Amino acid sequence: METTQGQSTARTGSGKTSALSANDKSHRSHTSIVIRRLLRSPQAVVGGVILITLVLVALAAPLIAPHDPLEMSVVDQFQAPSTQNFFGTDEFGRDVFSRVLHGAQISLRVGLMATLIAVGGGTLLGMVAGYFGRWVDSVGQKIMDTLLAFPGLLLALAIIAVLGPGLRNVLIALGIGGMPYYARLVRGQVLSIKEREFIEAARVVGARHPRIMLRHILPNTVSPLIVVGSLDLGWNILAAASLSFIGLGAQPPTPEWGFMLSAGRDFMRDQWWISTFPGIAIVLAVLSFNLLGDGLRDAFDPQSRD
Amino acid sequence: MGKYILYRLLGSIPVLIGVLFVVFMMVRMVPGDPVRIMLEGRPTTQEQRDEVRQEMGLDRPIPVQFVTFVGGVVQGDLGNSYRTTRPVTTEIAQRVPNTAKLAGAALLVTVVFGVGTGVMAAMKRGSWLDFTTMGTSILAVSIPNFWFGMMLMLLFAVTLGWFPVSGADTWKHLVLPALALGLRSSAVLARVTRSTLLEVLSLDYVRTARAKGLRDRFVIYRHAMPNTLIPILTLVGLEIGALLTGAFIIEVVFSYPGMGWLLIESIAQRDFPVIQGVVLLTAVSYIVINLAVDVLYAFTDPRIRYS
Repeated sequence: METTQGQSTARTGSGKTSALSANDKSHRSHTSIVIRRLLRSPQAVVGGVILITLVLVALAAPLIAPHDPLEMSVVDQFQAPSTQNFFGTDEFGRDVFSRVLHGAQISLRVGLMATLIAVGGGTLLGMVAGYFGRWVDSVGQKIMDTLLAFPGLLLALAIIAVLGPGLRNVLIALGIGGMPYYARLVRGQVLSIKEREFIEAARVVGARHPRIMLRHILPNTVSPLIVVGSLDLGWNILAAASLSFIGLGAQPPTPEWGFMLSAGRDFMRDQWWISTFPGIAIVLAVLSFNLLGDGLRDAFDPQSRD
Repeated sequence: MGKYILYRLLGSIPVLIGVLFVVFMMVRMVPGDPVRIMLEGRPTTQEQRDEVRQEMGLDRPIPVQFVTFVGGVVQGDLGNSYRTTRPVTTEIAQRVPNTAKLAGAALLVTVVFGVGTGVMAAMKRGSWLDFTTMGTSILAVSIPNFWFGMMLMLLFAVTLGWFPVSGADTWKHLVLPALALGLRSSAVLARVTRSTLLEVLSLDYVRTARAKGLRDRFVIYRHAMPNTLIPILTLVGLEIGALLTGAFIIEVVFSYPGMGWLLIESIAQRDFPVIQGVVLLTAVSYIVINLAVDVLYAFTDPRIRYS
């Protein structure tokens, strides 16, 4: 594999040679080292276990949910948690447990899609800017600086204002809102990689720009992208829940966690279960990505610990 | 240093123009006819719509519209709200102090808790205290601030009655929203403070100070802390952005009459002039704050010069 040389040094950004690349380890063994380090980190293991459970729950939701998440029943409204309804029922008599299970599917999907849009778009922009340099880079930088001037959720809110509320628009908005960060990250990586010898070698043997970018540079930007991406997935789930909470995301009767929380707000005092369980679900999902992301960062770059 | 500040000021001009352009384009990028959306629900004739279009200048070429828009912004004219027909600047001006107070209070929470726990954890590195605070911090960044706000409200306002449930009249109204909003940023700041301080503490000059027999406390506060200021300042500058837009969500939880509530209402009702006003003001405030942070760098670190 022609890309392995740069694999392990790329992530330090400044071209510092680590012990790994000096021995020219194969790609496979590098990955297995990272996985072994990951398994030794208790927090990464906890995060991984929570995440795998959530993914299984999300996939199996239609099979394991005891009730239809949308089925209303006047006689069953505001039932406290019981063996019939593990998490109780809401103001429409819907089973909160079933709704939380289905919500896992929605939140994970929105988080994943938004992150993929951000990573994909950002990587493309950063790669082109960093690779071609000159005016392409300076124009790209100005655009990124402009987008970064809209902090936190502001860019997403502005995009939703244009596209209109709804879960699909939320994931588009979060995806676009995340792009500048990835563009910046990838651009920095590309700048340090493109001056290295193996890129020059590829150019000498006649490789074209797209091939150099895809086959030689892209693989070397993967590890920081995985770390940032996993942390970002947690953030996107949180952000999507926030936007649904304020009414700009999921619309009724969608069993989305943030939206369920906002619906349960009026009943917090006496029917605590309506908002508590979706809240716990959000915390678990976001926590799993944060633990995993932290663990991944340490595994890819042990020096970054502390 | 004067030169450094001047260059930083000049450097932010293209970004400001970019922000103005993005905000200007918002209305023009709405799928469908903005005029129709604006007049939603009201039966209109083609002539009436054309009249509105002409009034808003939407029939002129884009560059002309942009120049007109920027001219208006510079003179403090952001148009009128579709909903209330009052000037956008009036609508926003009523809300700005509330959001500024909330974000400011949350910033105070962030700096006090964040730097405090970060320094504590670094000093007792490896202890149960370090372990607990860092564990709590990763949990804290995973809790939705709106849910945390709801919990605080239930416990301290509804059940115990120590603080008001909603509104924005006294300092008491600020306590719970500021805590809810500051939680996440405090946790982020605590982690960065801890790791930066640990890094500085491992440097030679700190070892020398210790070798001279200086007390731990003195070494940390007088020798190590000044060198952690830049990363902390940078993060605080970035977190202010998170606090500003986080405030928008928290305002909804506590029915707090700030800009966020106004923005969210306006998005729901597609009141574009107000949306544009709030987005523009927030972005510009963020740029100005980070400019101020950059200038502060130059004061905290005399080595910083424009290069």
